[in-house]
Amino acid sequence: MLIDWFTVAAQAVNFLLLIWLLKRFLYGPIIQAMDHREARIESRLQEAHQEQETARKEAAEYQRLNRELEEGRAEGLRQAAEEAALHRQQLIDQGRTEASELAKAWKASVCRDRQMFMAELKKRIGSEVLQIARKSLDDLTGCDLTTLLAERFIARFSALGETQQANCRVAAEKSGILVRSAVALGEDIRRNLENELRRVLGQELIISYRTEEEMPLGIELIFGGLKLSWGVDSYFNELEQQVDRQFEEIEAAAGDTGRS
Amino acid sequence: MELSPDSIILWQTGFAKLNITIVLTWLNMLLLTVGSVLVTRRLRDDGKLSRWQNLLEVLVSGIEQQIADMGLSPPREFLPFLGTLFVFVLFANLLAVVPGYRPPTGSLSTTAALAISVFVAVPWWGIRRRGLRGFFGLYIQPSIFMLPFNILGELSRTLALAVRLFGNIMSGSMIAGILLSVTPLFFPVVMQLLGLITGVIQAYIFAILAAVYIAAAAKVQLVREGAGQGGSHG
Repeated sequence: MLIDWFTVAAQAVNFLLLIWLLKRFLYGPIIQAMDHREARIESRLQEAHQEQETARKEAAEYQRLNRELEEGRAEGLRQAAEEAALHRQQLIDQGRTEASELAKAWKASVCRDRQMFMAELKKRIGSEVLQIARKSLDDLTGCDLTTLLAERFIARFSALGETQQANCRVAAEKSGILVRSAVALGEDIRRNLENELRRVLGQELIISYRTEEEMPLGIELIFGGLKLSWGVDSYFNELEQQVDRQFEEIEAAAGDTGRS
Repeated sequence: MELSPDSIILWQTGFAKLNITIVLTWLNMLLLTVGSVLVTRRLRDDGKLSRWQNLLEVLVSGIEQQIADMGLSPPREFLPFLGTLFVFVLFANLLAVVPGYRPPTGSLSTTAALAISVFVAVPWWGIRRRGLRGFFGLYIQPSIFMLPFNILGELSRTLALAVRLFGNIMSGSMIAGILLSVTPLFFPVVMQLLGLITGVIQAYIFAILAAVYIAAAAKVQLVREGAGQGGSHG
């Protein structure tokens, strides 16, 4: 007998038992491990995808920032260049202004120096000329220069025209006469001068004297707003003009050298 | 020489007996269970896998894939039954190379037990999936006159399932025994190798046919095709 029914039943039970055993010890654990691994891989893939997405977004953000930075840098460079050009122009303008002010100050200083120099020159020359003339006249002729000058002035005054004398009279009656001279006039000269003035302008005159050493050689009569003078002022003025011309030539030459 | 290892009885009391088939089946079960426990107690689901775990995963996922290819879904529902059929028959056949081992599948009792298990499993899943009326309706397809033929086909294919496996394994052992007595050198070794191939193929055929039968009963789309296959294999 090839089939033994007890063995068939026993083998069927054995088979069912083996199904349970393998399900318990083989399929279950293996499938669980595979499922766990698949879930883990799936979650890692998800994480990787999320990280990839995050990285992509960050890369896009960085690219945007980079672009903005580049644009900002170009704009900044342009602004800086503009500011630098503006600043440079301002400095140049400032330098020019300062140079111009310095030049003005220098010119003013030169002008002031010149005026002071001229005043001093006038005074010195007047004084020297007066001294020399007075000394030479005194030595050579025995005459006093001031006296001669005064006499000459009186003669010139007497020779004034009617109109000029009338103007003088009006002015003298209003404010009197001030006589200015570089050296004190002697008694004789004063008397002669007063007599002549009273003869021409009238008796009721108030005459006062002032000696001013800064004055060049000569005599001045001041009638309020009018002035009559007799002296070397015109010579001095001509001398001053000549010195001015010299100065101007020197300045022009200095200006050419500076520009070249 | 005995045709079946059932005849080698180690212990008997009345109807109950302990023959070599049952003992070697237990040995087979013990090896499979202990092997599974040894491998699966150190399972890892991350990092590097052990070789044995890798082998078992390939085996289990391969069986699962085959079941899915048969159209049985979800495959995990059928995995324990069909997988155990395959693994049990495979190991029983492979251990035939061990001298003195008589494969339990060389016993018609064992193959009949397995075929009866399939015979029971088919209506079990068929009724669960289709319902009682739906499953038994398959037997009167395409007409009521086909009922006896369908029942005959059902029985004959179960018988064929049992006899095919038994015949192949028994004949392999017989041929090896005969050749051993005629030409003791070389030929038995070659035949043993051939027996290994036959064993693997028979394990695959047995499991696949069981899957096809169950699929024919359980899967609505495969009704006609499955019924046709059932008839042809029977």
